[in-house]
Amino acid sequence: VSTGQIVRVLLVDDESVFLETLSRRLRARSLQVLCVEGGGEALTALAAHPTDVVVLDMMMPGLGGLEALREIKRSDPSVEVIILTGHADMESAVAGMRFGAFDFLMKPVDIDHLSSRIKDAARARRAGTEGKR
Amino acid sequence: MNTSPRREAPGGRATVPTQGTRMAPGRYYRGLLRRMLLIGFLLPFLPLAVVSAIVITQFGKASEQTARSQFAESSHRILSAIDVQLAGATPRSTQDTRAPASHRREEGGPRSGTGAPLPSNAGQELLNRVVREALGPSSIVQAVVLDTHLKPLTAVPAKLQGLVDALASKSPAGPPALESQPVQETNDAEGTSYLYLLDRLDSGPWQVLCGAPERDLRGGYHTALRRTQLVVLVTGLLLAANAVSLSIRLVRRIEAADRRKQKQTEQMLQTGKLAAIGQLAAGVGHEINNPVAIMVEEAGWIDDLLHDTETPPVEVRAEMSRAVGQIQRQGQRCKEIIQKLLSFARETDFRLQETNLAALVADAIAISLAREKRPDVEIETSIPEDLPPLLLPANELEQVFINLIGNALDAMEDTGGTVSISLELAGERILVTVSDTGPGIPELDLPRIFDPFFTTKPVDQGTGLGLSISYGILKKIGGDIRVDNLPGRGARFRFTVPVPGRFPVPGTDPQRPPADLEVEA
Repeated sequence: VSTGQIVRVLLVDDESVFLETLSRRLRARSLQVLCVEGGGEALTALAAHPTDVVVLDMMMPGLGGLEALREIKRSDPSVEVIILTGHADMESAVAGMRFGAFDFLMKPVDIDHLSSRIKDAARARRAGTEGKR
Repeated sequence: MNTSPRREAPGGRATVPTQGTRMAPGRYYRGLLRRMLLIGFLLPFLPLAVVSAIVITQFGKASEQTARSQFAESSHRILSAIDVQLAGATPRSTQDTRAPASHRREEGGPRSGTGAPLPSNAGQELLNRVVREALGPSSIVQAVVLDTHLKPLTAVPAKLQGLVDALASKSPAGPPALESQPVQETNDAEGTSYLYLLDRLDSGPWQVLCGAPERDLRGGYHTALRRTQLVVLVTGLLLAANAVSLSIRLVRRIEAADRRKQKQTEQMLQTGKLAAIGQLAAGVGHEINNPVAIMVEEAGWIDDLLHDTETPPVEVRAEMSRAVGQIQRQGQRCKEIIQKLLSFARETDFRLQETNLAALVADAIAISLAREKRPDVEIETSIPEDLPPLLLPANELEQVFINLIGNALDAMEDTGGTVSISLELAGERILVTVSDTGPGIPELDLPRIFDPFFTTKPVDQGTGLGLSISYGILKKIGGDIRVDNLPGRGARFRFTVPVPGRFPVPGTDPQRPPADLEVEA
């Protein structure tokens, strides 16, 4: 990501403790982070805040990760989504990739790996939207 | 008749491998065969035999009556013929030869019964002739003239010798009672049964014995009896042969079906075991993953802080840094354990990727040999050169190869040898064979080799999960794995992998291929 371009990340997870720490660490890696605690909230937040990359949990009460992913991609296909889940299974992994997820990562994740994937996703998004224009 | 001793009774083998009680091989099926033979043979044969016996008895009674009446008729005819002849002829030897027979009877007066004069030689000759003429050329009934002490006066026909002897021995003191039953039956010393009729002659002081072996009189009956016996015997033999061959075939079928069912049960048990442990593993994994993630993040955060700030003294910083590193390492360890469990539970994130199988196998070999240097082992591969890149869960397949190669290397630990890996594309599947030249797998272990935690290695050298994980991976992607021992030496694992297009991707919507999303984006 070129300097000066701030990557805007939306963290979606139902565990607030996890969100708190992860967001701090990502911010320490010069990402702009917004946190929400559910799929529904994520859609609302996306409508209100321009976002480059969504980091999405799978197993959440209410709107689950897979449904949220479909909704996000439907409303704005250019937003990249990285799935970050502790409940990994093949079905949801394959489904997630098919619904257009950028990557599928397992908790606990290495923070540097996560931040580099987020930056990759942001780069891909910008290349995609610029190409489209 | 006998089943092969290799075969085992149902439920005897690996379904309950820990139980020591086994049925003797084939005993159950031999018992079944015996019962079937009994039923298959006796059921049709008994009615046949009973009906035949009834028919024979009825026919026998009828033929006996016929024989009696025919015999009585013939005997009376013979008797009167002799009587008539003698009435005319006797005077030639005793009195007036020219007197007519009708007169002779009157002249002879009432029979005295005080013993007849023995005929002269000429008279005996005459008697013989009279008897011969009375009998005719082809009479079944034979006759002999006797005096009042049952001494034969004419030649005794061979067929009546036994009867004459029997009568003489029965009543040595005097003549037997005659009139009550004109036709009587007796057996001679040899057991031959005769019908006979003994009567005084009106024409002289003699008696005539007419007789015939019963067998001769009832020739038709005896032939029919023999034929019936033959038919029953042949039918019985045919039935027996049929019962034997049918029963054997049926029991073999049943046995084969039982074995198939047993195999299916084994497979179901195997799958069930895997599923149960898989569920447990998945449950543990899911429960523990999130807190571990938090732990790792918190430790990471402390680490981040330590790197960014300079406030704590250097020694404290160093110590905290070490502790944080430890938390991270231990958290990472937890993560690895969980991922192993999850991969066993087949719920890890299988990633399909374009895979060059030849390269994958080469990598797996390199990894296996890097883990353990084995100059005594040669690894041969046979992979078609034109194998196209295929969309496969490469990491998991590599794990399967590493597990199988590792197994083969361990099997040849003391001996060295060759590991052969061959791959071929067969229709919609890839067939893979991994074989070694080690001692093979003990027969007893074969059914349990894919069981979770089953291992023949020392406690600290194997988890017993390698093969069951491989089994799980292959089942998950729609493949299969089997193991057997090679005829000569060594074990052989064969597994199949479905080629793309057939790869089951559950939970996806075929109406919405990824291309749509790409285009929209």
